[in-house]
Amino acid sequence: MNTLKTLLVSTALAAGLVTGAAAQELRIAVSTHIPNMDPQDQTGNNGAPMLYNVYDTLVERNSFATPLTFKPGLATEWSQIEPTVWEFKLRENVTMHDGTTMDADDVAFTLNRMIVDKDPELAPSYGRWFYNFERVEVIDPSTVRIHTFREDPLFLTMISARSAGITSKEHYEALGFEEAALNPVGTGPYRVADFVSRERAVLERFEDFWGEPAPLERVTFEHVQEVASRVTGLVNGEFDIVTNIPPDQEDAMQGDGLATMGVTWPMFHVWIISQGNEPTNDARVRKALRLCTDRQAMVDGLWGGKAHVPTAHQFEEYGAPLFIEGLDLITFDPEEGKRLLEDAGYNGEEIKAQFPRSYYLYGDLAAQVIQQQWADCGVNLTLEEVDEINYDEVNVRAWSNPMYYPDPMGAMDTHWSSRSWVAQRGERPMWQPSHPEWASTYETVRFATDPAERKAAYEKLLALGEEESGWLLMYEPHEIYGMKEGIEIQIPVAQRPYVLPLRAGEITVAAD
Amino acid sequence: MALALPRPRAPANAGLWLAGLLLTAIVLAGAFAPLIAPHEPNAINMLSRSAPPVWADKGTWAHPLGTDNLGRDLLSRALYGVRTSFAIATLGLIFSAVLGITLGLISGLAGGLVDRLIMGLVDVFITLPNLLLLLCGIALLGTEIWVLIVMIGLVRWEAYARLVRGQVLTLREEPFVEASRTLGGSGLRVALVHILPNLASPLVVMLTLSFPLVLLMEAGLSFLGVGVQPPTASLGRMIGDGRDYLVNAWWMSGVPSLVLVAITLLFQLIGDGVRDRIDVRAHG
Amino acid sequence: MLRFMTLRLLRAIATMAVVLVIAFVTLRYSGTPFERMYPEGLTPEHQAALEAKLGLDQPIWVQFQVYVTNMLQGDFGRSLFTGERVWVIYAERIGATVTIGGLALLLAIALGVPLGAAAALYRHNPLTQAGMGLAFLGYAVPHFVIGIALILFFGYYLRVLPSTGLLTPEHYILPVITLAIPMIATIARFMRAAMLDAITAPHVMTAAGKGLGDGAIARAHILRNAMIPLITVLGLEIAAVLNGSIFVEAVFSLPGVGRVLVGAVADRDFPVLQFGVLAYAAIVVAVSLIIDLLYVAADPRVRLEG
Repeated sequence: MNTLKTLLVSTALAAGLVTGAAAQELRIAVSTHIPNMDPQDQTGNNGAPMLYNVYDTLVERNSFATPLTFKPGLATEWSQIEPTVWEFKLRENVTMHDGTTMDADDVAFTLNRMIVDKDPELAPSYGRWFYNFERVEVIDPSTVRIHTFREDPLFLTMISARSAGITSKEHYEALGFEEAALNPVGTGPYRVADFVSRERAVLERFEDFWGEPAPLERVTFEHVQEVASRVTGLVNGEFDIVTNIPPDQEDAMQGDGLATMGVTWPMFHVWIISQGNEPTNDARVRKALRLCTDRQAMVDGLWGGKAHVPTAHQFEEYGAPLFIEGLDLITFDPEEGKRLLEDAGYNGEEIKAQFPRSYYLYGDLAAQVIQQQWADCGVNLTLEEVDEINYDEVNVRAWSNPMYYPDPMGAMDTHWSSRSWVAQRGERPMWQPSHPEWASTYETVRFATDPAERKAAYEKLLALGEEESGWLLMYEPHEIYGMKEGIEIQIPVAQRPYVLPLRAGEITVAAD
Repeated sequence: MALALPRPRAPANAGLWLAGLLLTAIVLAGAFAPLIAPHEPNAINMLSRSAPPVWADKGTWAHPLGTDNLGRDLLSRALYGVRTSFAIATLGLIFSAVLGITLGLISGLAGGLVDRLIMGLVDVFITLPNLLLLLCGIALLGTEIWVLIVMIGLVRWEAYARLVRGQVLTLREEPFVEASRTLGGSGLRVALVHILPNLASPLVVMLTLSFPLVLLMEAGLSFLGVGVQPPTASLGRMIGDGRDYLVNAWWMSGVPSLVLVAITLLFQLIGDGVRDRIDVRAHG
Repeated sequence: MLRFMTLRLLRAIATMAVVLVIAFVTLRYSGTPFERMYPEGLTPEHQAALEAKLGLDQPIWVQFQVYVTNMLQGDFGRSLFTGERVWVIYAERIGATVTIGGLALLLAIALGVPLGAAAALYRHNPLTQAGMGLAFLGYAVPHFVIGIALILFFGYYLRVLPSTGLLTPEHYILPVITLAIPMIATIARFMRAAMLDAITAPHVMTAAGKGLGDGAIARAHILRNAMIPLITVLGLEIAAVLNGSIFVEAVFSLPGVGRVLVGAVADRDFPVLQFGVLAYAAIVVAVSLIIDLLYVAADPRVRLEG
């Protein structure tokens, strides 16, 4: 039997039926992993590399194009039949990973559990993307209509987010949420062959995929928390790709047959400065703290000059129609900072920073650098790594603002809206924009249908945001991917940060 | 080769003295860290990040043991780290000893229900996984230094309690204690005058031998990130902070590791030496 | 014997009940899992919905009652984080921990016992003295330092051994050595001390006086007398294996229970941690019971008392 199999394989090879690339396997070491693989439940950076390759959306984005453009996904046609109603024609004969056929019921089930049933697990997705979605209506097995509350200029952007990835109704109804989410079923080019929560995900080429077949036979995502272990694992030949390596470790991965790729994802590392708790409830103090922060020094020191120093809460990845060129709202001026502090009567009162334990790459280091920079302005900052933040006391909380979708709202509405926890948690929420025009300007950016009007309003909103001084943008971190030579990956600018594109045409691996 | 049959122990040898001397030197260096440290331990200098120690390529005397990833002087941080780690371990040990001795005395002297309750408690604490107990306690109370001290004390007390109780049970039957009791001595008086002094030697041995364990416990917690908070230097914290840089700046973890190992090793040597000298019954 | 076993069992159950209550209460007052579930933040409304769904909005005694009721029916609940059944989490990972721990313990006994015995019998031999010196060192170096040093040396520089996970038999080498080194040290040191005690015991002196040969004395008396303390230390080492595996699993990214436990504390993953604490307590209790029985086997003079 074995001999026969070997014989068949070698015959196939000889006949050129199995190309080098088709038999490829990749082992990837990631720094964080996910508890389950439900596309609506898992919205973090940790799930992005995997979910993108397992789930499809109704409408797909052209991953490598700026500005944002769309292409058919699980839907072949779509149109806005009324301002608040979109109709989708679904692709026929799409087999899901559980063997069932994808139909309108699956689409309605997947999205309605979030937007109609308001399942608590799915609240982050709902609040970030889909709060303007009302319901999904099944017209016939291959037609759905999606209703929104208001006309939404970002409708296609939202529906093409991986958080609108479609899963199987039959699967969830048979197994229940917990088990179904641990044994993921999508329609994408890879199916999940093995998943161990927060440890390992093994993706295998899905032979019945509706589109062009996956280029890789098998991809393993292994959770390796320690940077040194990931670097060692690559050098030692245990992994083909390692992610999340800080720039100052790049040299450790130089060697025979190794390559590195630096990526600056569209994402800010941010400190929220509380508008609620004393003494930062005084706008002058908040402004002073920002003026006393030398971002360039952090970027040069911690990130080898490779991270990006932000000039405003916006990303070039929006593309020409929405990105505001030449806007620079951030300055380093400790003298002015000291003056403001004196003006506010600040006299060495404790300013309390708390940050989630080992969550943000170099977050603890950046915190210690800022502590010293602020100390030069006479600010008494204390640092604490915690599992749970005390919102009634904290003045500063570390956070990140990834660009969830390429649009001015992609990092703003998903973080700084009035629905966000920053505006709701604690007796005195950290974020309480008080300028009379904030809310109306925000509204225009979010819902105006004319792009020029949105852009103008966004420019105004950013200026107002500076007045509020609730956020301190530190930098856009720069991370290194270490890999074996011969692997070619592109950065998917139209997708959210940390997506690792492994679909057809997105990755090539030279045969060993 | 002949089987070495018992013979009188050698008197305190030079090795023991040397170990004592070295340990004292390290402890003093830690205690006077503010006076002898060449740099401010938390002073960040981004221009001299990850500088190697003086003996390595590109090392300079400005930072004899190199610097860490924030350009902080490792010699200074190690000195302050010894100070922090020692303070926590010492106070934790004192706390656990006082708690254990008190409960052990009560248990041994009172007997009956009180004895059973305290020994039941000992059972519970033996059955709880130490590290988890520590982690839970810290989760409950926060990561301030006093919490570390109390928690370290809480996981170590039962050994003292058992030791003291055992000794009390033995000593209680001794004629001089019996006599004191018949003469109307109170439990407390009996404990203080007759029993505690007799406990001195085994306790000293136990304390010396537990010290490195407690030190390692603090280091382990700080290594896991739940111990001493940044920017304060502790040996475990420094080892943990440096592990991401093992490949390109081994000294970040290496220096504090060596200091930690040296201290625990010296304690072991001294502990064993002291035990051999005190424990006359075993080898008399 | 039966009475002894029954009493011990009852006491064990009482101990474990107290352990459970302590774990249950401490954890719940130590915070909530939500910040860890959503490190990017969550709204109070979202948190309230989750609390209701997970039953964490109930008073603590109600939660305890529910937990105990389910537990008695064999249901230990699901992880608050991953939704996995708690027993599945442990069942999937216990193999790695037991294998690494067991191999390390065997290695430690195989090296530690002869080393300690030799060091006691041939106290002035430079070879055994050097061995004990090394053992001293092994005792002083924490697991995490040994582990990262081994990874660096064998993984990064020599590139001869894999450093993460447990894919092949080769993957076991470094973690087992890391876990074993401090145990070898402990066992060797303990064995040496126990042997020395046994050597000085009166009946050994008598035997020596009667003119029995060196080898015979060593075999017949010393080893047997040294066995009892050795059994004790082995019992303690099993607890040490569990504590050590927490660090070893973290350093080598191993899929074992140690990592689950530490993660569960940080995450406030109540059901996972409660099961872990109970299981640990059960192991400790069982081990101490077995050790008591081994005592009897090693020395018939020992009587069993409740």
